[in-house]
Amino acid sequence: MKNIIEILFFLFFPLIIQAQQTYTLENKNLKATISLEDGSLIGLESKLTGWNIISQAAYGQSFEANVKLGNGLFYIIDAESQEKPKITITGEQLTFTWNKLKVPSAIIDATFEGCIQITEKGLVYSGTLKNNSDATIEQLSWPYIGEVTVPAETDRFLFQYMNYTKFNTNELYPGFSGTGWSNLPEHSFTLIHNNKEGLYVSAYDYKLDEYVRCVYETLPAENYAAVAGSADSKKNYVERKQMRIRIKAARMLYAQPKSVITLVPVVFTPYAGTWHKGVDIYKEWRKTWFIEPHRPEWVKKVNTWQQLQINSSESRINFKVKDLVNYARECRKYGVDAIQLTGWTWGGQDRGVPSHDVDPRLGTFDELKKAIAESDKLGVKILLFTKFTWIDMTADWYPKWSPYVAWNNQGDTCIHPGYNYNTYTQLMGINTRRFGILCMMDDGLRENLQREFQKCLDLGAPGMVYDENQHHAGTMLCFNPNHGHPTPGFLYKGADRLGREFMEMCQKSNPDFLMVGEGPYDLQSQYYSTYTRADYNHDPVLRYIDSGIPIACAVTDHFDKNRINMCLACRYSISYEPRNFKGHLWEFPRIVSYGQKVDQLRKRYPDYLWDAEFLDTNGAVVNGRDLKYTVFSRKTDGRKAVVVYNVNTKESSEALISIGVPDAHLVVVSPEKQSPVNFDRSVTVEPQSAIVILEK
Amino acid sequence: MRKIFFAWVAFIIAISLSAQEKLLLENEVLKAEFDAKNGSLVHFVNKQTGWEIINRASLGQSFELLMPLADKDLRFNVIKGIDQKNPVIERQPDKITFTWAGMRSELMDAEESVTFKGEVVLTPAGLEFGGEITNQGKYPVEYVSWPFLGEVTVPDKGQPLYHSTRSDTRELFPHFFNEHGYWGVDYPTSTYPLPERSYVLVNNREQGFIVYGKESFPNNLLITSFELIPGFEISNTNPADDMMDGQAVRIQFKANQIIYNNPGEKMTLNPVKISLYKGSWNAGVDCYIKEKDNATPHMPDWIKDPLTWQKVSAENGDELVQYAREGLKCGVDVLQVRGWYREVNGKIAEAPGLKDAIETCQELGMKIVLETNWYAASAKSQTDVNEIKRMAVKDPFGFPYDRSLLCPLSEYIEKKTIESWTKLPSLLTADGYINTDNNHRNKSYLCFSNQHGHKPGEPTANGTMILDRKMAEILKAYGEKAAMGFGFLDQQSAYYDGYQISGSVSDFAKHRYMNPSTAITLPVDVKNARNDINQAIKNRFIVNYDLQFFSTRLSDYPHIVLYGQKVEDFRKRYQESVWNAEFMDTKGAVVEGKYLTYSVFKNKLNGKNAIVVVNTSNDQVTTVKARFENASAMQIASPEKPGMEPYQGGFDLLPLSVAVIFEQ
Repeated sequence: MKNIIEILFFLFFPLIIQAQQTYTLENKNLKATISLEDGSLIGLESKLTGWNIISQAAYGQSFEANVKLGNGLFYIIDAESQEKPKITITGEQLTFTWNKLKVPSAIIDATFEGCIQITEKGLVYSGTLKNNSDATIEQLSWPYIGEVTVPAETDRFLFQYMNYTKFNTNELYPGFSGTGWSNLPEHSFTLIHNNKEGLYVSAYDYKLDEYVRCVYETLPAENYAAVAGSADSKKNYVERKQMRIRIKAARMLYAQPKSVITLVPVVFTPYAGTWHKGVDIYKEWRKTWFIEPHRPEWVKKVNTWQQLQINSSESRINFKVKDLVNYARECRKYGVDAIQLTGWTWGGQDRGVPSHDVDPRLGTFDELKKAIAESDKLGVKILLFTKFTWIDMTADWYPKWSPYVAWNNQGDTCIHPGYNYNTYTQLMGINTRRFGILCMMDDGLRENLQREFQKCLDLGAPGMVYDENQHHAGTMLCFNPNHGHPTPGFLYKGADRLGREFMEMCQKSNPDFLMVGEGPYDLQSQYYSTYTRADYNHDPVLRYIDSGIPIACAVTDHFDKNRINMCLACRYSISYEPRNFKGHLWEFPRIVSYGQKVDQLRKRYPDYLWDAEFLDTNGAVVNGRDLKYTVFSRKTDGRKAVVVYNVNTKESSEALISIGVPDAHLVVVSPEKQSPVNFDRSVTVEPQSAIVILEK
Repeated sequence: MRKIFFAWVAFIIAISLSAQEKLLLENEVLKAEFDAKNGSLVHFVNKQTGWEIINRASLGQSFELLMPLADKDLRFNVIKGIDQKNPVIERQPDKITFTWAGMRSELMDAEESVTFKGEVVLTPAGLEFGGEITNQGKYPVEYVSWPFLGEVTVPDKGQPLYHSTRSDTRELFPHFFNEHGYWGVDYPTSTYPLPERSYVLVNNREQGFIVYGKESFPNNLLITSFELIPGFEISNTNPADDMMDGQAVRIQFKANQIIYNNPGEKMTLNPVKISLYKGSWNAGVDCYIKEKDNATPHMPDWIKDPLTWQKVSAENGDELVQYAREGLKCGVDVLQVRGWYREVNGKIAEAPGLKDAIETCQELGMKIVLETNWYAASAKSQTDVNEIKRMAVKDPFGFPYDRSLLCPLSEYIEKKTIESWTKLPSLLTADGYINTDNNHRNKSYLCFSNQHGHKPGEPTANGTMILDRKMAEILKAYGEKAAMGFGFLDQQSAYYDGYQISGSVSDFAKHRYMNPSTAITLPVDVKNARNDINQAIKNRFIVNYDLQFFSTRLSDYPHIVLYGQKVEDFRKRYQESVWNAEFMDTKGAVVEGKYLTYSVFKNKLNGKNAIVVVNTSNDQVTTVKARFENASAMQIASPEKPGMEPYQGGFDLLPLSVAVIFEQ
């Protein structure tokens, strides 16, 4: 009898639900209202703050798809133009099934099954797309949040995502940003927020199975025309307030005829607090898949680098291999542990790639191998600058590599315009060497790249810096049918495979080989440490995600102490780059001298400043003009260090500092005065100077 | 005849000058001293202001060459003039000629038989650097840096020093503008191409110098460069002192003439002029204006008036007529039309019914200006793909700079362009056209193809200007047509009636100052509409609605259209004062007040001045206080209060509003 009741219940349940018209999915953080007419998300509220993210049901959206028929006609369709979907509910999940998608000129044999699930982490959108037609379903927006209101008491409303170790920022309010997007999973997550609360969006996709664009669009609301262009339309942002923001997870599927695609889950959830609270959500998910790679001991300790260009694409030979050891000796003299050697490959930096043969104009393979070994004996690691992302179209070996070049969806080869060096003709772009963008989804390509990488290992180098490993010049997908990947291939997935393969090669050849990338996205942290370039105004997002990942940061100017202080505050290794990395360390002695003091301080207090957990600005309050600060928590006992630096280049600043621990014993140290002195609430910080408060 | 000969000989002193230390060129404007041994320019003074542009002889430079050593694959072989054997020097009263014979660098095993004859001529306003290169060696010379100023000092560290062109402004001090990627330069570097940018002005508020090519149609591209040596002291900030970390702090300037001079060739350089001045930037630009081709074409009468334009996209005739009917109701006089043609089977085909629709529009009283594009092969083109590949502008390696950009230097492309476009009935019927080619897209300054019938490395701009002029002549023969461009080159003003402007508001005044009468249209964007319209008034630009935020229908933007109508009425009412008048930039009046920007117009009939003052603040009312240099009685009016009212010591101006102050 019980079984019969259950059967009857499941038979009639869909009908019951349809009569209800809406359905609520709810957890402790959010309440979402879904229309059962067409799957539209018509209500979304943060239970943490009361933020009504979708203000009107009329703005609700379900899905949107870009469809190109076999005859070339192109349409954008949405749920409103479809037959009512079939709905099933299981537990905390709604499933909408649209059979036989309609475009204005036809009905196509394609089925979209879209799932919406509430979990404790947020609202999760997944599904399956079955395309039995001859059409290509290029994009599918799912979820599609028809409105994201600007919360009350908002000064700035931002769309932020992590790129090159820090935030990329688009101001949605009061500025006007039109349309833009982040890339998932490349950018890890996206926050739409006012730094008091926000909406977190991410894809549960650490295997890089799908390219999702998290798109924002700003469009006029109903009353826009009534105010636009009037004399007082800008006052108090009247005109801007008559615009609406919407967010789409536009999945760039290009679902081919006769294909079935399982969508990666995309999650969004509101949160309360600063951006850190949003990133904390990502950090929690990251713990479920992230495996820290093996790293050599030297990089786990305080270390300092120099970047040095030996040759450029315009054959500007700066020095020869035989001179490298002299540079290493200079490094030893100035306390520098590693040289990032740029341009040693055939043709110089950004020429001849991806060949990793030693440029014969500089010396031989054996000479470089010997110089690397001698430098190592001096205690200086030679990190070889590498590049596997492009093929130089002017190189003699272009014909061999050209089959691996990615194609766009028009069938054109994807080309990068190249980089400019030294001569005024090339600086103006007249004779730049263009690159073909390699599709790393091609197994044959990766085998060839592995052979090039093996040359670095064979040189006996202790590591490499893989330049531009973090992007593919805007080419996300490859439509070349000859690469052995499904159409389209996601280049980032290929890069992920390459990273894993490189790591496996290191494990065989030299487990201590340090693989570093240029500003890699966080998924690449599984393989690569980081080299970055940043100024002190950046938010150190990658450091906040991972306190221990090695990050080296460029210092380029003759006495930019702020940059050194930023390295101290963010636990970055200093990478000295005199004369834009063509010069000697002695060319900017003042900044090297100051950097040495900072490193000494870090070496004296590594438990506070190097091996500690990085909290960014959490855990302390610092007040004072032109001051920046970060907080570290000692892993053994949670005691804090607060690094405070004054970015003003002319005037000192009074810092009022509290770590919120009553009766804490605090001392102050600095690069110049490293012995602790008792600290009581405030301290004067000189221009371009830093102090550190330690909780004893 | 003998007298002339001896007099000439007396002037030409071709002797060894080793006994002398300095060679001097001097007039009331400048003093230039050259090292009599190595020919370097060691002291350079603007005598009008006392600015010692070069004041450290140790930093003096003469020239540089880039001579790539192809057989050794060493492209970066820089021949430094001061490291060469001393030149032979010829001296005339207002001219010095240095001849350096034989070139060598530390990368070369032997001297190359290349001779550079560099001439420096004293002109009333400055110096002119010409020369000749004779290459009897085995390597090509890619460029010559001449002149080469070893330093450009900062005349007053209490204010910024800029370098700027017709279309932008960058800082030299205190925050040097670094344009190029750190990987490719040793020092912060800023470059400009000429003649595309017309000139390079180095200036502060009181003085400066201007660099420009003497020829309107030069054989060579000129790349000017500034470098801050030895780099920044702190982030993006120049060193404060003359020395830093043991190195001399200086900003170097070079005029790099891109010549691609091959072995066996003799080549004359296009002279580069440096004119020095005292005063605001206008005085510097005046030097350029005096020497440029100031010819203007015959303009149709209607384009001379302060009409209102609208940009629309029409794919068929009916759509165009709909726009016209609506536009007329909203005070629009001219439609600028895009999307009216496609390329079909390699030929340009216009939208169906377009010619008739244009005639209907004209009968209704609407002018039609069609957008054209001579050189771009559409991505959706049906043109033979191989033809596009063959005719694209090519780099030295044989790759196209841009897959769809055809070479304007090719006679084939020129012929095909003329044939295709001049047969279009709509183009012949319309009231004008506006050509949207941006011919240096994707760095296509030069074309290196050896299949186009031109010398490899020739500037594409030269082909552009020849074809543009031909097209203008052909199409204008069909009636009182407006021929317009996109402001690509200033030289186009000699045959184009005007152009659509883009870029930074801060550079608008330069465009108007350089070309007082040319018709310049300013696209008005929905989200910045009032500011755009106000800038149009201030700079005597044509208002050109480009309203497409969510709708392209004017009826959806009632406030913008209403304001535009008021502005047109206002400008017609005061046409002699703010439209037919001479644009003076800010000369002749002083305006004080926060958020304000202004310009002065001089009435050509009565000589009276008028100030157009704009409050650029989005939300702040500001008080305007203005005075003319030679007048006390003034009146004010505005588009929203067009009647004259007396000016009584100042007035409040609402946000995003404009007012005109008339001298009485």
